[in-house]
Amino acid sequence: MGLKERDKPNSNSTEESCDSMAKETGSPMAKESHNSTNRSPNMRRRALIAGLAATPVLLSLTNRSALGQNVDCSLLSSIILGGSVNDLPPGFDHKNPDFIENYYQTHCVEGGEPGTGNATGNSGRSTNGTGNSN
Amino acid sequence: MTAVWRTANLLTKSWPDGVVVYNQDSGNTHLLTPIAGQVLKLLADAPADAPTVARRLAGQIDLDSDLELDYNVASLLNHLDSLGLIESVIA
Repeated sequence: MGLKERDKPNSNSTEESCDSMAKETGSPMAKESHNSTNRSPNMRRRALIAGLAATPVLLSLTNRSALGQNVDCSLLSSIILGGSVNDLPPGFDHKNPDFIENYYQTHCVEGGEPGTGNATGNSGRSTNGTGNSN
Repeated sequence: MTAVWRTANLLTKSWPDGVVVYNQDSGNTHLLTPIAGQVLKLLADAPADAPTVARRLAGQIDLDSDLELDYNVASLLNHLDSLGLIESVIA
């Protein structure tokens, strides 16, 4: 009731998908190479090198829970200045320097470093006077 | 000295047109090309250096490895390393 056919857990399409995954025991390339064994060695070699030379990553999904956790801004700044990335939590340890710097700029500079002040400026004191004190 | 590589702590699932890899340490997920997945599988079976991986890959399709193949495999391994999917071990 209310479920489309594709949403039902025992729909045929789902079963077919699971079956195909269960039967898939060998490597993708092995299947591909099996289909290409009739090609000439030079063609196979070219295909292999083309596959190796292509960007290996088609899509990446970053661990969002890791990005959601608080990271010490001083730690990030030390890493930007050349420190070790070993102390970073999972999800950050393999990020490139640009990512870490952008993250630092977003979370520690523009929004204010956590624990060091109120980013909204509602501290009760204003350093920007609106009038002449004299 | 040639680096010997092994896979990180990964879960993989293969399809004919790609391989999904979940890194249990970082929590990141990647969709890789079939050949990249095959390289990971070879390293999961046994840690190896780039020339060895190239030789095994070539052997699967009845080819001999050569310097160009070694170079491309080494490049791919460096890319996988930058993603944290493999790590070098002391030979």
